[in-house]
Amino acid sequence: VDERTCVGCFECKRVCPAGAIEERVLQVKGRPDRIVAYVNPGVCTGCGTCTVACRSRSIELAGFTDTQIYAQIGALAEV
Amino acid sequence: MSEPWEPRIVAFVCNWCTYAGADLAGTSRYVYAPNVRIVRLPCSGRIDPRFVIRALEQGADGVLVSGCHPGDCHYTKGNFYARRRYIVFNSLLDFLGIEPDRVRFAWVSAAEGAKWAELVDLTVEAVRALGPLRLFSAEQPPPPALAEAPHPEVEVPPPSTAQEQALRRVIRDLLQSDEVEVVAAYTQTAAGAVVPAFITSPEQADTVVWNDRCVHNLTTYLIGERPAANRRAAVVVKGCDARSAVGLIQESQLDRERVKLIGVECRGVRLDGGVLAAKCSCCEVTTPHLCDVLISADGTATKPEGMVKAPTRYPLPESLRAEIDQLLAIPREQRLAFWRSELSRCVRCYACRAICPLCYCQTCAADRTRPQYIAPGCDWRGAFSWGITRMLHMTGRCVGCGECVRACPQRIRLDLLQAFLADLVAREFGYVAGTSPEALPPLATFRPDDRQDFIR
Repeated sequence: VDERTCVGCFECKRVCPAGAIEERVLQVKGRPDRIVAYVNPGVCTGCGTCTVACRSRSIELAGFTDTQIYAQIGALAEV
Repeated sequence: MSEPWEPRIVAFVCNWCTYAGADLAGTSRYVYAPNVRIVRLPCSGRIDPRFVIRALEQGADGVLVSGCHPGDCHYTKGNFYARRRYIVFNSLLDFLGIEPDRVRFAWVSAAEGAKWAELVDLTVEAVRALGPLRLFSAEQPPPPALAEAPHPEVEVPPPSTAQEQALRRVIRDLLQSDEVEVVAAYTQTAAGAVVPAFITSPEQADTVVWNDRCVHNLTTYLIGERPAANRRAAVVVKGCDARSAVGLIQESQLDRERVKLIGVECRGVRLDGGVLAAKCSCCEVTTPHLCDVLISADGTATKPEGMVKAPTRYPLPESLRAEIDQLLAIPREQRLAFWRSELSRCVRCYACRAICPLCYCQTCAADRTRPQYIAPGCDWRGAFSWGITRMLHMTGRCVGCGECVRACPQRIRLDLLQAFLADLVAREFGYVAGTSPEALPPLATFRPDDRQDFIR
């Protein structure tokens, strides 16, 4: 999760089939600033449903990032 | 190039079922059309409708989307969420006028090698019959004109000055007692226009107005770094605005300890030219359903206990319903021509995004460059992908306040798209946005028996 852009809507947490998303309080200068999503890597099964649910594109699935998939689409659709 | 045209199909498949099924088709030596290029994903839950759009933009003539059968997902539930997304996306594509045979959905299990081969052959033949994708071709057929939808003449009396006085009193008290630091309300400029105002001292309360030209949805100032965000604030809300507030609460963007909602009973607001806003003709929330203080039409201020009668429907006026029905009745090519002429006007000013209370992402997908989700040029391709992306993000969240339509300098019929999707969500999933803060958004849940008649 990119904590700079996560807005804490927790759509990812609702859809995660494994329940791997937790809430994390971000501290700014020692004081709680906002709550963002955090993926527990031990629980995550790597399905990527959270990635599609995230509107702000703050969560990515390693190995199947949007950049990677878009690159594949670009290559396949044109050649 | 002298080679005859061959359909180019991109397939998005899940690794565990469909990809394995395709592999089986290979090892079983089935002979089938070679026109399909596969993108392997871990789960159908990873399939973003925008991949489909991207594939069409980049030159594919058709798209195949396939995953495990519902109940058999390797990750247990990913395909259930995917199915809900497909329902929305499939209907949206049809409404826009894109031929359904171009984007095909299926469930193919790892044992169904034969089904995969048949599916590919079927898809390729169907796309061959349709011809190359003309969605982005240069020539643009003339769009049909929609017949003027009848606007019911509703007599709506303007609000009483007693309400305005009561509102000023409430605001003054809130600021004097230091319960809040700022109040988002309406004021009137010297030229007579009604605009939003941010009241920070009790003396300023007398500049607040309340009349039938208070159209703005002030809850939009509660998000991001805006004047009423992240502070102890109060916001004047009409019933439609209260729906947005409910949406913000659902998505953890509004802290009810810090924000006071001042509800005002409203019989209708008028847009420029004195026309009653279409949403007002079918309003269910003349009394805002969620607020901390309620100012009734006669000027009495009360503190409601819990939620007052919640709305049950999206504000879909008859005129809009008639236009949607009209669009669905005309042939697909004409529908596409209509939407192309509408969405092509988009200049990517993003006013719709700026004014919407529910567009609060710090970095919008449209602003990202790695990857570049939405082409920034003011052309049909970029406008098409922006329009669809925003609609998909708003599905099941839009409350119908109509601000995006009012803000759009190109008068794009966003209201038609939003209403169509909201109606779809209500029919398919039994969900209406902005009614209850505890409700689960429709795309964050599923039913085992969600519709799948369009999925092979």
